[in-house]
Amino acid sequence: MIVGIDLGTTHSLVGVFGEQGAQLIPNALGSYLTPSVVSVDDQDAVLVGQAARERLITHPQRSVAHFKRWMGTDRITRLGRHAFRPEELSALVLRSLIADAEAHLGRKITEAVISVPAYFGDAQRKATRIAGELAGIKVERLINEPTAAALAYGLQQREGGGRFLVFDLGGGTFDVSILEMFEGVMEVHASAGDNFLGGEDFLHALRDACLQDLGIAANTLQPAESAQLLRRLETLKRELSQASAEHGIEVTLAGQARTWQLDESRFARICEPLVQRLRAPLERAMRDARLAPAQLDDIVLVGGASRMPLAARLVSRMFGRLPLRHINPDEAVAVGAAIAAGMKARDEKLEEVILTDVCPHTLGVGTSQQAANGQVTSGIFSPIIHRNSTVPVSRVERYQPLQDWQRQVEFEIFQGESPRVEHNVRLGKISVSVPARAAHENPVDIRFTYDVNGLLQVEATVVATGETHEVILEQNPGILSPAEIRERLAALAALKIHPRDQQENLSLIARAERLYEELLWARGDLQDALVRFRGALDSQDPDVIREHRTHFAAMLQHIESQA
Amino acid sequence: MSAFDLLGVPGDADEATIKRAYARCLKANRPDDDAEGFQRLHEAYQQALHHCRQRATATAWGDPEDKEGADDRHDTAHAETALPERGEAPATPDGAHTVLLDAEQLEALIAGDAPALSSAGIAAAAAASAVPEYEPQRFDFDAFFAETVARARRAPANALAGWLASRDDLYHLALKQSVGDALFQRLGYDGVAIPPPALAALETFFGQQDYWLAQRMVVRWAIEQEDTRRYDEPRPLAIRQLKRAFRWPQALAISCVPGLSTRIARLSQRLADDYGGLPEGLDPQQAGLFQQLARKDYLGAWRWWPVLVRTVVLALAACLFAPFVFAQSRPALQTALVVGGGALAIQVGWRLMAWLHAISLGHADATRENRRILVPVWLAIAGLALAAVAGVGWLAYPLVVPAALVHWRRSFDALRFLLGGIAMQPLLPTALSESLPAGAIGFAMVPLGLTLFDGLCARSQRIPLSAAIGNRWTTLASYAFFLGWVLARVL
Repeated sequence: MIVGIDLGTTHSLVGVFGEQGAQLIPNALGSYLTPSVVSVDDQDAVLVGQAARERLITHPQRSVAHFKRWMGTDRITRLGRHAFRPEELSALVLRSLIADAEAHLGRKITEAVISVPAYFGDAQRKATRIAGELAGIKVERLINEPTAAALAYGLQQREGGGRFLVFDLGGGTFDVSILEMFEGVMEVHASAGDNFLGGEDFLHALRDACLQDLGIAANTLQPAESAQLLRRLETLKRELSQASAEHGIEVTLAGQARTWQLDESRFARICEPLVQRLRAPLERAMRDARLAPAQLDDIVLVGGASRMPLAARLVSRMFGRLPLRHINPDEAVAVGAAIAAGMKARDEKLEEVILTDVCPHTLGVGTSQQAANGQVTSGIFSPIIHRNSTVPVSRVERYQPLQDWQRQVEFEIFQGESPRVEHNVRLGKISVSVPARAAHENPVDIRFTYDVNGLLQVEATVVATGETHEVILEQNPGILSPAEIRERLAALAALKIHPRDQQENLSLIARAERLYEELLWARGDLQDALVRFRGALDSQDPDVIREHRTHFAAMLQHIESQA
Repeated sequence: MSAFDLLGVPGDADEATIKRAYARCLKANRPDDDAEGFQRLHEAYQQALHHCRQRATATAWGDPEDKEGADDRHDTAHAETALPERGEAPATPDGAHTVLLDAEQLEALIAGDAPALSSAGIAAAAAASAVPEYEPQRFDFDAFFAETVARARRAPANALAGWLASRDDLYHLALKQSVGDALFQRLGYDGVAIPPPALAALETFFGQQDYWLAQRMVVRWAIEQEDTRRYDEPRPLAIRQLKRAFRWPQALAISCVPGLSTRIARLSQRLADDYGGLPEGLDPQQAGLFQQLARKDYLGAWRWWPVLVRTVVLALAACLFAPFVFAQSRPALQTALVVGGGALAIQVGWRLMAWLHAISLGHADATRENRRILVPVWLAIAGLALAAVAGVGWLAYPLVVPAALVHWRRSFDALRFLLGGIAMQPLLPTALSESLPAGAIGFAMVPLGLTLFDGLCARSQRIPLSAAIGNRWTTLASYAFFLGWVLARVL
C-alpha cells in the first residue's frame, strides 16, 4: 500500500488516494496535522507529535523541532541518552505517521511518496530518502511541494488548463513554481526558492522586536520562557492575520510578567526585510519561465505561513491580481502528495494525468581554463544540466585533461548558479583513469542523468579507449553510507517509542505540564487534576481512563481559554 | 525525423494543436517508463513551439516586401513595448484577463473573506459594484533615472539597494522589467559614470547581467574619479593629462619629462582595451600623440621637439650655473655649447639605440625578424669597412658602438666578445690593424660574434634565429674569446 506524506518543518501529514479521491488520515488525536517535534521522556522513551510539542516548553533540553532545516548535514542532536541525526528525527516522525495510516486503513504500508521543497538540493533529497528507509518504508518518488499543491488544485477545478504560479511559504522553506496544465499534462516550467525562509523566520523577527522593545537580552531568558514567548507570539501572529486591530501578549520573562502590543502595520514593518527576500525567487522563476505576469492565469498560495496578509499583499503588488487560496493551505501539499501516490500506483482515475517536473539547480563540474597567454584559471564552473531543465534529462559534455601525459582525471561535481565553484555546493568527486597521451587527444565525456526522482547519475566515457565508467559519487560528509544506514536502522528498532494508543493520554499530560509552567494562578487546580488522571491511568481500566480523559481535556481547555 | 513529424502535426500547426499532440504522445511515452524517448519528445515539443511562436511574431511584423505597412506595424509594436507614458498604466501585451481593484478594496478583500473568492468571483464582484481600476503610480522614468544616478554616485551600494527595494511602484513585475531594460540601455549609451558596486546592486535588483557594461563602467568611473591604480598607474597625473583638451605647449611640456609619455601611452592603451575603444572622457589627440611617442621606432617631428627643448633648457641652466661651478671663469656660452651639445648627442644616441633595439627584437614575421636581428651586424661591418677604407679609426665608433649597445641585455656575453675582439686586433694584417683601433674591433665583435654563434645554433637545432638568442653555445663561445684575451695578456 502506498501513501503520500507531507514532511513539513512544523507539521507533517499523511494521505492516501482512495475511492473518493485523495483523503487525509487523522492521527491518534484526531487531527490531520502532526507537529514535527520529537521529545524524549525521563525513561528515555521517545515521543512524537503534539505531546512532544507541549514538551518543547516544559522540557526544552529534551525536545527538538524544525530539524528539516538540518537535513543534508550531519548535525547531531542530543536528547537524554540518545544522539540523533536529522534523518533519524525525520524517520521517527515518519514512523508515527505510518502507524497512524496503518491503524486507519487496517493495511500494511510499504511505500510512500514524500514531498520535499522544490529547491532542496541533492544532499537534502538523499537524506529524505534515507529517513524513509530508516522508517522502514520504500521511498522511490520524491515530489516537489509546489507541484504537489498544484496537483491538489489542478484536479479539483480546471477544465481548460492554463498557467499558474504556486507560492508556497511553509514553516521553514519558501518555494515558487510556475506550472502549465493542458490536456491532463502538468508541466513545471521553472522552480525557485529559499530553503531558509519560512514562517519561523517571521516569528523570530517578531521575537527580536519584542525583546528589543522590552529591553531584554535574549541570552538572559530561561529556555522554557523562550519557548513560551515563541508560542505566544505564534498565537499573536495568527490573530493578526485574521483581524487588523491591535493585539497584545502577556508573557513571563526573566521572572517578571510583561505585556507587549502590536498592530498589523507594525508587524509589516518588522517583517519588511523578510518580505524583500520573498521577491527575488518570484522574479527569478518568472524570468526563467520567460513569462510576463499577464500570461499567468492564476496564483495559488500554499503553506501555513501564506495566511499572513503580507503574503497576499506582496503577490497583489507584484502581479496585479489577487491570489487563490481556497484549499486549506496547511493541507494542500499533503493532498497533492496523496494524489502523486495514487499516480505512482497507477490508479485508473489518474491514468489521464501526467506530471513533468524540472530540476531546480544547475549541475556541472569544476574546470580550469587556459588563456591564450598560458595563464591557467582554476575553479570555473562548467554547467552540464542547466536549472529548470525538464526531467528526466541527460546531457553530455566533453572535457580534456589539463596537461599532457596525465593518468588520472578528477572531476568535482557542483550544484549552483555561480560561475565560480567556490560559491556553489559540492556534491562529490569522481576520478577517471585515462591512457597517457597528449591532452588534446585524450578527451573524456561526462554524462549527467537527472531522473524523475531527483537522483543524479554520472557516467564518464574515455573517448580514446571507448571505456565507460558508471561512477558512483564518493560520499559526502552529510550522507550516510549503506552500512551506516543498517546500523542506525537497528538502533532505531531498539528504541523505546510510546505506542500509538497512549498518544492521547500523553499529550494531555504534557499539555497540563506546560500550562502548569505558564500559568501561575492555575497551578493548584492543574496539580490536582494531574494526580487524579495519573491515578486513573494506573488503574488500567479503559472505561475509567476514557471518562477521566474527557473530563481532564475539558478542564484544560477551559483553563487555556482563560489565559 | 523533424520535430513536427515526431509529434504528428503539420508544419504550420498552431500552439493549441501542438500542445494537444504533445499531451497525446506523452501518454504513450511516459517519463517514468522511457526516459530517453521522453527526452526526445520533449525536445521536439520545445522546437515545435519555438517555430510556431517565431512564425507568429514574423506574421505580426508582416511581409518584408511590404515597406509601408512595416512602418505602421513597427510603430504599434514599439508603442506596446515602450515604457508607459505619463498617466498610463503599464501595457499588458495580450490584454489578458487581469482583475485590478483599488487599494482599499484590495486590503479589505485580503483581510476579509478572501479564501472564499475565486478569480471568477472577483470578476463578478468587480463588475457588479463598478469598482474603479487600481491604477499603479504614473511612472516618470527621467526623474527615476536622475535620482538613481544621483544616489548611486553619492550613497553606498546597499543604501541604493535599500531605496530601490522600498519603492512601491517597482513591485509590479511588468513595470519593473521594462524600467530595468530602459535603465540599462540608457546607462550603456549615455556615458554616465556610477561606481561599480552601485552597478552591481542595480544588476541584482533588476535581474540583469551585462558583463560588457560592467567593464565599461569600471573604466568610466576610474576616469571620473581619476583613480587608475587598477591599471598600474598610481599617480593621477597621467589620467589628468589624458582628460585635458590637446594644447601643444602643454603637451610638449609633458613630453619633455622622461618616462611620462610612456606611462600615459600605456594607460590610455589599457583603458581603450577594457572599454573597447577610446573612452569618452579622454581626448583622442592627447592619447594619439602619447601613443605615438611611446613607440620606440617613431622618429617623426614630435620625437625631436622634446629633445630640442631639453637641450636648450640644459644649455641655459649650464649657462647660468657655470660661473658658480667652475673655478676658472669660462665663457658661459662655451659651457652652454658643450653642455648643450653633449645633451643633444646623448639624447640622439639614446633614441637611435632605442630604435635599433625596437627593430631588432621580436615581431610576428620570422623572416623580417631575422633580417632585423642582422641590422647590428651590418652596422658593425659597415663601421669597420668605413674606417678601413677611409683610413681613419674613429669613424668606426659611431656605427659599431650603437651596434654593440643593442645587445646590452646580454652584457656578460657581450663583454667577453668585446675583450676577445680587442685581443684579436694584433692578429689582423698590418694594413688593417693600422686603420682599425682595437676598441672598434672589440665593439664590432659583439654583434658579429653573438649573431654568428646564435645563427649556428639556430641552424643546427632548426629553430628561428630569434628563438636562439640566449642559448648556451654562444655563451661557451664567448668564454673561448675571453680565454683568448687572457692568454694574449699573459703571453
